[in-house]
Amino acid sequence: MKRVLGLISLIVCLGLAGPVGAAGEKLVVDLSTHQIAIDSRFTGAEVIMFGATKSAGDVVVVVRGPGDSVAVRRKERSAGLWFNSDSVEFADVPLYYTYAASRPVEEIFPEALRRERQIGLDQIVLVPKTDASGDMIQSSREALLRERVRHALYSEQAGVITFIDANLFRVSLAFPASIPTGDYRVDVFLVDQGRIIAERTTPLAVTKIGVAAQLFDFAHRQAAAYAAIAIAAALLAGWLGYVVFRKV
Amino acid sequence: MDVYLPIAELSLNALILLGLGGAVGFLSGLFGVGGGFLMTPLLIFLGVAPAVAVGTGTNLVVASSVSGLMAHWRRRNVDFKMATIILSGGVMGAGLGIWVFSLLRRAGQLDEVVALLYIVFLGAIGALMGVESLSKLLRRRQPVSTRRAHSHNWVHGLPFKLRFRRSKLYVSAVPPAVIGFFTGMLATVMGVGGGFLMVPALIYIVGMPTGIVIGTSLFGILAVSIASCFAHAMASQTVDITLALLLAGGAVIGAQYGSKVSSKLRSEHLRVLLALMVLAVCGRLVLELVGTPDDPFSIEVLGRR
Repeated sequence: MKRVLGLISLIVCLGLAGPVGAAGEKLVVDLSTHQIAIDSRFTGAEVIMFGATKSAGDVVVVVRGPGDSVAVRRKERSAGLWFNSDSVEFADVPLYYTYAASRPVEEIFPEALRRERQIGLDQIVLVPKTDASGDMIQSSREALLRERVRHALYSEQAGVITFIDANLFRVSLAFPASIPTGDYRVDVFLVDQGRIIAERTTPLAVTKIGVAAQLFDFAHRQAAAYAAIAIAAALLAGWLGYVVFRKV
Repeated sequence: MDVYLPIAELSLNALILLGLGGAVGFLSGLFGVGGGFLMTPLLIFLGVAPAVAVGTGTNLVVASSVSGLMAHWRRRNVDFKMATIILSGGVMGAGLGIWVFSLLRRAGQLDEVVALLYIVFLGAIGALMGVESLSKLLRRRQPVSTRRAHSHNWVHGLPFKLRFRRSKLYVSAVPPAVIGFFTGMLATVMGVGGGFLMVPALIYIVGMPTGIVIGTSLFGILAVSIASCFAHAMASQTVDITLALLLAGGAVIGAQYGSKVSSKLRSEHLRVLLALMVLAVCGRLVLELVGTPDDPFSIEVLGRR
């Protein structure tokens, strides 16, 4: 229902804005929701993006999650045993990254532009904040990408861009249950002949709500009380288990 | 039936968690171990962050050990006097453990030292216990049987002897206090309750009857796990109460069945089984250290908490 309303409001918007901003608005986009709410039954989410273009071109949608420091450690064999040896820390690594494009991005953009806009897994900029050899940084980077891809937190398949007609498209963006919370941004590019002719950025917040949010906040704000309740609950559960099942 | 876990920040199937808890709780009741050293790797395997797996594990151990403890208490298998001495040693050991922990972490080799400690202790204990209990089992088949309550060794030459009525022992208070001290220290460094170290040590060094050891050890584990659960929740907010309670739901039931089976098994059989489990965990750790890892790189997101 929400999505239908979203589509209707978008179409109304486009209809109203169309004649007025005909010259400027080459690209108009909106999301079916700007908040992914994680409650206790959260198993992943789907967000629909609608967009309208006023000129021909390819559409690229890039979703970036919040950034954080990430440590990568390498194990090496010494005396027959595998020990952690080198490590490197990267600053402000996007914890989530995915994109969708109407054609393979290599065909849409020249390499330099992809690098500038960080479009594609191979173009994500990772800045080391600790000293490490060039080789270590390069292989750590690859390891980090592998790990994120394995957990479905990085992907090259955000969704399929479907053109409803020549100027109206929709993309269904799927988010896994393990998405980190925080502020996401969705960048949409309209690209023609290797040049970005229009771009829009839409925020998307991933937040915990309801019991899940309350528990998280409680655990962080009142750690001692949370700890006491967790221990009391465990003691109670253990005692209940004994009382109910001691006859076995 | 997937449930979102607010601290672990992912969804897991509630039935799988109940089943896992049940299996670990069964072992807890059977052997008097908390099960933390089994549950933590299982949770990491399911995708839970290591810190959350350790923190939540301590909460689960509170539930499973209290359930097992009450069952053993009802069967009068807890020596509270012995437990008090072990705990007083354990508190001092935990204090030293915190210091050792920060020392190792600064040196950057915490994981390796912990893994090597595990292997040395588990391997030695498992091998000794396996050989001893198997040879006893084999001897039992023969008619010759000189029954003694326990064997006399160097331990009985130590001072500060006390009478432990429940354990039917008259031994020095020094060995249990030292065992408690080392268990407390290792428990803090390795992030586990330490039952798998305490149980064999009490059987073989102090000479306590196997049945009493299990109940008594659970009492010690309960105290240690309450303290470390509190520490984890305070220091790093890594105790996921939803996850812990789902696991506990299975564990407390499993612990009842475990303690029932425990009281029916012959103590030699119980020790053979415990030896096998200890050796299996040891073997897995050895493989991890010796075998070529699937991916030599490990990734950790820092500073989210």
